[in-house]
Amino acid sequence: MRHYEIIYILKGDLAEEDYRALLEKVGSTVEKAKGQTIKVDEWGLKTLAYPIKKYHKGHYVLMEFCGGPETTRELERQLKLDDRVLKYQTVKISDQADVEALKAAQQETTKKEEEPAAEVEKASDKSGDSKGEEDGDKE
Amino acid sequence: MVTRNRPARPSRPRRKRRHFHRRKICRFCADGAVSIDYKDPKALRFFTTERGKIIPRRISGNCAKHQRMLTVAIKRARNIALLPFTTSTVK
Repeated sequence: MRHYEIIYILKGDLAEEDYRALLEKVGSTVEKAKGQTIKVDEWGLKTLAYPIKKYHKGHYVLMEFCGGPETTRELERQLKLDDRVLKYQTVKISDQADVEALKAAQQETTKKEEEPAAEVEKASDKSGDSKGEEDGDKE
Repeated sequence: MVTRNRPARPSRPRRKRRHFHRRKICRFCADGAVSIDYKDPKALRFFTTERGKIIPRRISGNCAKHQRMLTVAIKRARNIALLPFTTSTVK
C-alpha cells in the first residue's frame, strides 16, 4: 500500500453541518475505494494566499491515508465533482507503507497530545467545560 | 578594431572585482533539525522575495539538493494557496 497525504480546501462560508458532512463523506470515499484513513487534521479557517473561485477564506483539511492509485483516483474524482471543495492536492509520501505501524504511531501521538490537554482541562474549570461540550457534539 | 591593436596595457590584474564572495553555508545542511515542508508557509516565506519569487541559490547560499527540495516545497505550497504566486500591487 502507498502512503498519501491530501490537503483540501473547503469554502469558507460553509455551515458547520455541511462541513462535518463533507468530512464524513471524504472519509467514507477513501474507505470505499480500498483505502484506510490514518489521520485527519483540521487546520480550520485560514486566509488563502490568493482568491480561489472568488473566495478569500477556506477551511483547510489535511488527511493522511493509505491505499492504491485507484483510491486517489476515486477520491480526486469525488472532490472535483463537489463544488464545495475549492482545491485539493495529493502528495505521495511513500510507496511501501505499513498501515498498522502508521496507525499505531498515529494513536500514540494523539495520546500524547491529549494527555497535556486533559491536564489543562483539570487546571481551569472554564476551558474544561467548553471542551466537554465539544466532545459531546462530535459523538 | 581599435582595441585589437592597442599597445599592451600596463599589467593590471584583470580579475580584481571578483573574489569577494564569502562562502555561504546551506542552512539545511548546517542544521539537520530543519526540514523542508510544504505545509509550513512561514518557514518557506523566508526563501521567497516580498513579491513571492523564490530566492536564487546564489543569494540564499543553499546547496543544490536542498534548493531543489525547497523549490518543490514552495511550488506545492503555492498550489494549495499557502503561499502566493505573486502579490498584486493593485488592491
